Order: sequence, then structure tokens, then C-alpha cells
Amino acid sequence: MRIAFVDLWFSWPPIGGAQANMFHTIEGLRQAGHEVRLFAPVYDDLWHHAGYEPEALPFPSEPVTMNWARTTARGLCQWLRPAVDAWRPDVVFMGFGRYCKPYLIEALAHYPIISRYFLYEHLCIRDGCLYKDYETCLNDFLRTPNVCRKCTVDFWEDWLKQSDTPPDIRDLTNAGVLTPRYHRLFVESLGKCRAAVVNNAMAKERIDDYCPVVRVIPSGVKVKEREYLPLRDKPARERKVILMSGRTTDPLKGMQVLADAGSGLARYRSDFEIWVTGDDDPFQEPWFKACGWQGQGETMDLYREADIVVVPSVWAEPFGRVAVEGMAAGRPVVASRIGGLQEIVRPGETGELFEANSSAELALILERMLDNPEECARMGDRARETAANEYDWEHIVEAYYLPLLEQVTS
Amino acid sequence: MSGALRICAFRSQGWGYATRLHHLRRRYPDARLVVMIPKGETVSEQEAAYADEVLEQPHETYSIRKPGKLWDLARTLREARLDLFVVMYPSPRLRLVAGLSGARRAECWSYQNLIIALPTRLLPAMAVLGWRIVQGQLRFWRCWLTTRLRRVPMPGEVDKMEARGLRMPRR
Repeated sequence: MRIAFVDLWFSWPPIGGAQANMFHTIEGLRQAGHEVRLFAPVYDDLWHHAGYEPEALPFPSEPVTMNWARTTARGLCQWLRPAVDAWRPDVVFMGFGRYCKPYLIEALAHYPIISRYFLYEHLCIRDGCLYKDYETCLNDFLRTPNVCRKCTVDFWEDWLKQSDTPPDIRDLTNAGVLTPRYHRLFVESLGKCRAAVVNNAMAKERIDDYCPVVRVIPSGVKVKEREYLPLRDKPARERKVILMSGRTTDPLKGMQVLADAGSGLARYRSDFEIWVTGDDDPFQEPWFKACGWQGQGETMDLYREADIVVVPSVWAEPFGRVAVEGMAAGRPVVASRIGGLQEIVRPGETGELFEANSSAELALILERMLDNPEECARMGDRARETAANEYDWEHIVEAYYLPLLEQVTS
Repeated sequence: MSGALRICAFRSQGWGYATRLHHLRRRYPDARLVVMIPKGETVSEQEAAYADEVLEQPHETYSIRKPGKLWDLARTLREARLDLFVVMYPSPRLRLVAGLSGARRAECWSYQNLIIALPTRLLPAMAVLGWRIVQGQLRFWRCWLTTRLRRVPMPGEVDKMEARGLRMPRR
């Protein structure tokens, strides 16, 4: 089968989970015997996007140099449609497209389309986070477009007024997201897709009425490529390491919750350390260590050093790649009971879940785990096994993407 | 006073400051590199490796609407007696700051990531900035009016947050 992948924000090496997800999906389907080709622009004026070198990719790609300031949705379609038509794919797989996605779907509607929605881009036009007033937003662009349009303008007020327009805002205004026409186009584009792929059950529930087929497909990690050091074989340290990995400076990731739990624990015990990736050390406590921004390789070293991995996000993480990475490294994961995280971690088996934002509950769980190293080791082994069986890319392609392709083309 | 070129690298919002310092050091190996950071921020280890001198900006941010802050910055920069002033982007605001710096010339990284000369004459810089601010205001008000006057026809739509008596905080 010939599968065309379209992604407006593709970069390799990846700058985020969405890019890594696309790369492994394309590569996985290529290895499964399908003919694949990536259609992704390279922007000449965007530092935020590292872009990609076609020669560095293991699969063929069709790059076109674009200038974000001058690129409109129509301009993108004018490039994309002839390029895809010339290749004659059997299926089009749409990746990250942010605000231009409905236009691209419209332009390629003569093919069976599978559309992958990252973040909550299909529900929240503001920033794709679906997070408002310190909780998951109950509105969504499909059902309450007028509320969401107002929320978007109010939220981006300062940026819209700025003399230097950031790329996200250019994308927003170029695609005419705030016009009533865009909402109609958006809803129609969901109906035109043969299938939509989302990250978790909540995201699925909210678009079930709009798209013929909606599948929850998790992201994955290359579990087999990761060196595994079981917790019980790890050299003993004076202090146990509780690790929080990822973009810890983002308040939505909940580093403050972990620090509050740590300061509670530190009142009566000193046998632990909290390590976080990132440069910021706002707490200046002896039990808190900022390890600096880490590349993929160094992060693996940190996981090996860790005894417990914590993912204290306060927003509904669509997936929670860090939790899966922790599991793949064979460490028990303590995560917020929210978004995709609650679907990844099995309490008592591969880790524990706590109420988002509840540092007291997190402290209790950490205390119990610090006191029971045997239990932690057992959970770590089980976590590694779960990651290998359910979140390895090979498994994800085989169990989710291949049946979906068959369904879409039959 | 030594004869080495005094270069000030002005740190503003955005990524890649350390990478830019690296480029700068390679381009001017013998120059004295003054790293200028916003008030209250620190220099990372990587940045410190390239810096001969660290200077703190008098304020965190600058805007043409707050001339007092700009004046403080201009004074600090002029006291540093710079030969070359380097900013991270060719934005109108940074162009104005470069104009105020009193340096003999200014450079920046273009959108294609190349080091280019930055015009430092004050009046054109202020005119460009003023026009861009007007454009930004027009952009915002156009969007604001679009969302208020042109509604998507959705009978029975209720703002669930409003119904629960919650309001969105302004950011």
C-alpha cells in the first residue's frame, strides 16, 4: 500500500513528541512492507523548527522550502495537492497541521484520509491544551465555537498586538481561524476523514459524533533499544533518587506539586533526592537537584540512576510519553490521575496514581515507596514488561496502525 | 583602555542565546564579549564560557510605551562604551534598542540565521516600530470584532464555564 504522510511541523531530530510519533509511525509502516513518503515543508524563517534533512531520514520525503510569514493555507494546498497527486497514494495520513489542517484535508479529500490529532488540537483552538482556570476545560471548539473563539482572542491579546508576530499567531490569522467559516470547514473536515486518531479516551469521546471512525492509539518508545538495569541490580546510593523528566519549567508539568511533596517529606526524612531535568532550581533545597537540559542519551542515564519516576502534570496530558519512558527503563511511575497518564499507569502494578495537584497524596505515596524497595523493584519489572508488550513501536504499528489501514481501505 | 573590540550581546526573549554567543566568539575571537542579561536572570554555564564580562540590564523588558525604562537602558549601554552591539533578531524593538546603545555599529541574526548589519538610526527605527504597533493593534481589534460580531450559528450554545459561575483570568 502507498501511504502519503503530510506534516506541516515535521522536524528531525524531533523537537517534541509529535515529531517523534510521526517518525516512528512512518518508519514502522515502512518496515511492515508499505511504501511510504513524507510530504513536509521546510521553513526558511523559523528557528523554532529545526527542519529536517531528507538524506538523514530512512524513508523518502518531499520537502519544499516555505516562508512562514508568506505562507497561507491556500499556498500550502497549492503545493501539496499536485505533489501528492503525482505520487498517487492509496491512503493519506495527516500529521501535525495545526490551524491549516482543515484546508489540507479539504484539498486531499479525494483520498481516504487518516488524521492524527496531537495535543487537543481538534478541541482547543487556543493552544491545544484544553486547560482553563486550572482544570480541564469543559468547552470545545466543536460544540462551543463562539466561546472558544473569544477565549482564543483574549488569551493571545498581547501576542496579537505585538510588533513581532510569532509563528503560531501568523498561523492563526493566516488560516482565518477566528472567522465563522473556519468552524464549518473544521467540522466538515472531520467528517471527510475516514478515521481520526487521538491519544486518549477523553479526546475520543468528544469527537465520536463528528468522525466516522475514531481510534485511540498511544505513542510509543523503542523499548528494546533501551538498556535495562533492573532496580534490584542498581548500585545502592545513600539517597534514593526521585526523578521528574521532561519540560519541567512548564507550570503545567507540575514541578511545584512535586517540590511541595518533597518539602513535606524532607521534614522527617533525608534518604531521598528529587532530580529534575532543566536548568531552573527555584527551590535551593539540599534535596532538590536541577540536572540541566538533557538530550535523549543523557535522559536514559538519569532513568538508570532513578529509583522512582514521577509525572506530576496538572493538565490532562494527552499521552504522557515521560511515563512510558520511565516504564521502559524499568522504574515504577507515580503519575497524576489525569488525561492519558491514568491510562498508562496501572496503580499497584506498574506504579501509582494520585489526584492531580495533590502534593499531600503524592508525599504519602512516595513515602510508602521509599519504605518498600522490594515493592518498587517488583513494580519496576512489571513496568518494563508492560512497556515492552504494549508501548514498543513495533507492537503499536502491528496492533493499531495495520488493522486501521485495512479498515480504512476496505 | 585596551584596543580590543568591545561587543555587547544583548539577551532578549527567544531561544538559542548560547549558540549565538558561540557564533559571535568564532566570528570575533579577539574581541571583549560583554553578555547583557535581563534583570534578575542568571548566566548559564555554557553562556559564561563565552563571556568576558556580564552586565545586567536595568529592567526585565522594554517597550516604547515606557520611555523611562528605555532611557535607563540607553544610559547603561552608553556607559559600557561599545563598539558593536549585537541583538538576537532583526525585530523593530531590538532595532530601537540598538539605536539607543550608542555603539558605532550593530548586528543581528537574520531570519535565515545569518549575521547581518542592523541599521541603527533612531528615527527610522522608531517609525518602523510605531507602524508595527499600529498593525498589531489593528490585527487584535479585527480579531476581537470578528469574534464578537460574526458568530458561528450554534443554537443552544452555552458557555459551560460561565454557567458554573467561573471567569477566565486575564493573562
